[in-house]
Amino acid sequence: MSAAQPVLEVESLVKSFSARSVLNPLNVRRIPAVDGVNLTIGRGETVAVVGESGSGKSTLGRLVLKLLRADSGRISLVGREIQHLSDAAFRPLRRHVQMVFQNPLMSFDPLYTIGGSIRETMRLRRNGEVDDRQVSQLLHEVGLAPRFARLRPRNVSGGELQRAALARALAPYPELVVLDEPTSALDMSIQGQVLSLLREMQQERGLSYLLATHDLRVVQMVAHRVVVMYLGQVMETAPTRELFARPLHPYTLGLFYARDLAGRSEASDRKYRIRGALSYPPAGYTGCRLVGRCPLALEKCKEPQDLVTVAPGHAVRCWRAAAGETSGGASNVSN
Amino acid sequence: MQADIVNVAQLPPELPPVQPSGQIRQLWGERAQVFNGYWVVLGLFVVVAILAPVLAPYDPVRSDLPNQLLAPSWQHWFGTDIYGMDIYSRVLWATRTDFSIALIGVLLAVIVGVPLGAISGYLGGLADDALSRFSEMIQAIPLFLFALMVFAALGNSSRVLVGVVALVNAPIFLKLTRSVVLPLRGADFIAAARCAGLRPIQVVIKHILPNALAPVSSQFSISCAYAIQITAGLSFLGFGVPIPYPEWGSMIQEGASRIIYGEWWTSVFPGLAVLIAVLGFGGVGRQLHKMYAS
Amino acid sequence: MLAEPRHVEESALRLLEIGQLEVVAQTQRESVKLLRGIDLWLDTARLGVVGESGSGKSMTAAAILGLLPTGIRVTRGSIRFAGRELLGLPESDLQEIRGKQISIVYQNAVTSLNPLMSVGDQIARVCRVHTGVSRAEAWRRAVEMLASLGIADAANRARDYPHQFSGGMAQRVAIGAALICGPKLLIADEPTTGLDATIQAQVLDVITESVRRTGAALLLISHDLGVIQATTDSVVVLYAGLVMEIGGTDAVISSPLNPYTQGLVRALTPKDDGTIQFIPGRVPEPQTISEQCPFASRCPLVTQRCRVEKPLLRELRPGQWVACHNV
Repeated sequence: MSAAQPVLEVESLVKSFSARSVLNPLNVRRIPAVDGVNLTIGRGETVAVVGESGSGKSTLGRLVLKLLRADSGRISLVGREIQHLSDAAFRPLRRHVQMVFQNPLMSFDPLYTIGGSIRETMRLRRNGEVDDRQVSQLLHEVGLAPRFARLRPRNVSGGELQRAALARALAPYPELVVLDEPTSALDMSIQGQVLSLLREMQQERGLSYLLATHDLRVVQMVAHRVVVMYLGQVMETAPTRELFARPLHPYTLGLFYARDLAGRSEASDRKYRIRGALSYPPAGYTGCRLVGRCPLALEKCKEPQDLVTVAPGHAVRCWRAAAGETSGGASNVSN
Repeated sequence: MQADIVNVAQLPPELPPVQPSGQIRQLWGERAQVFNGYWVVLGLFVVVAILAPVLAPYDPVRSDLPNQLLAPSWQHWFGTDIYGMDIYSRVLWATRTDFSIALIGVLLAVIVGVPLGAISGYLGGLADDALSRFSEMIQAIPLFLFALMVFAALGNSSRVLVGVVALVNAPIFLKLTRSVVLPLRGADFIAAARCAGLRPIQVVIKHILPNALAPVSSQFSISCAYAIQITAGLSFLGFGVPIPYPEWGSMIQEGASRIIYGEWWTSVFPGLAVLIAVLGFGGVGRQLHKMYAS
Repeated sequence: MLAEPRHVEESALRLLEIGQLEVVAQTQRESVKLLRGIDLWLDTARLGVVGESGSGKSMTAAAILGLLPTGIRVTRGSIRFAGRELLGLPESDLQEIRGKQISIVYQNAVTSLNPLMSVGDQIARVCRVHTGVSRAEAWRRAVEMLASLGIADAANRARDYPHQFSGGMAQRVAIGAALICGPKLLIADEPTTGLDATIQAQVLDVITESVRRTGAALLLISHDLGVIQATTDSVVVLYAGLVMEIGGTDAVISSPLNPYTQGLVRALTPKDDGTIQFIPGRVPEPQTISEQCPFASRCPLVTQRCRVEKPLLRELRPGQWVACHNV
């Protein structure tokens, strides 16, 4: 990995949605989907954003692609600031970042052939040239025969279609690919193949990935660094190996705990289990958003919490975690 | 044991693909299900419309008073009307009139309504509100009242009639297209098109409109059925196609006053033509809808 | 298919026993076997059925309840519930059984509940249909059930509609409707797939706790071996319509005998370097499999015999049955 400038830099990014209650239209709630997120991705690096529904991981990806407009904050793509750019001004930069969506069948226009869809994205290339030979070349790189260019999405299996989606994303030679749950809609066996392909492509082309997922196994297999999000905020961030060896934030611990269903007990329940269900905090609340579900919550948690660095590259937003009061170590919880 | 990182080239060969088929080829394969009696009926009408000059034994507008109001016979299959004109020939020629007015009118409605509906659905906001309210205004006015207003303002001719048909049907296509486009807005393949750098107008033309065509085509047929009724109805009232040009509605109107005298054939045959044409269009429309819905 | 006959006394005690079940999907052009002769039995209180997509696990559940979609039917085999043969029963008898003796919960609870009825009404209705108690009594029981499933303020929440519940809560409602009449068997078809990880654990706990409390047996269907491991005592491993292995959950997972099961277990935990060993290849289309072992195309132990002969279940260890030619 070169020490050159990062491929992506995100600073204090904020995006809220307003939800209007059907019964009371005057009651508008602002839901902070992404609430002050900082993130950096270097060349050839994979950063996994982990979270459950409502965490903001998908919104983050869409903000980077400017499919959504951020409320505030800074996004820098291959060294250029893009958050303020209009659609037209951003267009020439689109070739630097592409996306692979969760459901491959819905991410292709059913009326277009696969080759047609790939060609559409290929037009972003610098020289703008598009030809069949290059389409076949791309398909070959992802392990698909050239005949797939003439097929329509409904005649192709899920795993193959996701590989075609990757081919389409790679068509303009981007530096960064955003993947939104790329394997959750796929069969178990196929998941492994797609993940292997992702690793291969990264090594060959020096790609960077921003991978949004809820599946910790995917993280373990392809990510260099992990960012754990909850309700729009970063709760913990660390290199993958470090996070799996030494998870600190109660939410991260809760995720690991929920994954290991067979190894639970009353005692560990008390320490690690995340209770209740997701609920957005009332307007004006600035404390930790996990309060109410966190097994280790105390009064002090209702004060604003900052992201504190506890080890090189490892930061956590929890005063108790920073003080070492949360984890019993890897042996209790992970794998 | 197998290697853990799978080299994609070593994977077992993929299964043979389903024959790549365009929609037309797929239709041909399912033709027994798709094409049914309704299509045949419409096809017959089209043939009649094209070949009317050849098929009609008499000149449809040549009056022949000595032979007025003859009952159906071997010389005049559908009888003659009050001016002595052969009803059979007139019904055949009227197919041209009615079909062309209906088809052109609905086509205009599609050309205006569908793109506006797509824009309305895709852009949302003020454009959506403005277009929707405007089309609702048109829809709120009762048909015949509306037609009366238009004819009073622009004069009584078949061109204006075509315009009325178009104007009355455009809101239907606008709303229909809009309702199809709204859920498409959030579709991943639309997002992918935006990631490919397409401008909104390009997204609408290349991805939204083609995917919206399915329900539009079945609505087209149903609107034609409606258009035939409008045409015949307005001509019955004296608007649109002037006498003596053959047109089903005006023919029905002419014959209406003769029915009490027992001369039923003057109204019944053009009436049947309207009925069958409307049923034909309606049947085709439902068939298309079923086909796309599956 | 079984290679050795089981003892008669054992059969009489089992709550559910499926023998050589074959299910076929019939279209105008072809008929495709979806289940190729399944044997499974409920020996313990909680049985798991694990398999990928195309394994036929949902078809099995549908067949038990007599709810196979049109065009799909049973062509061979037997399904015995409490000693009674279910296949061939008239619809009226099956309706008696559904909801009262055998219940099912599905994957997406919010869509499997009626959006136009309050949740209390839905549970109460199931109760009334099968037991004929009064409206008031049925409502009371519904509220009691919701409370026992961990829904706070049950009396008021019973008046709410399904869309007002989150995924995990809605699944509890569905479980309530399934258990209200005290069925002998609860089938749960991927009950937690699609739910958040933290909610998944909660719902599984609700399921295990409530079947324990009501004394029902559990048939849990899932593609996730981790879920099966945490919730069941015995497990059936299905692949492409055939049973590969049956045995105690702990035994099967700690020492799997069938190569497919071994692959599944291996994919459960990542290796030291972080990679996960998935099974290479993919599940074949049902119409491409003839009388053979369906796993032949991906099996590391494959021999010529595997490609032409279907393996039969043999009891290789006490309580552990395996279908494979090569172990």
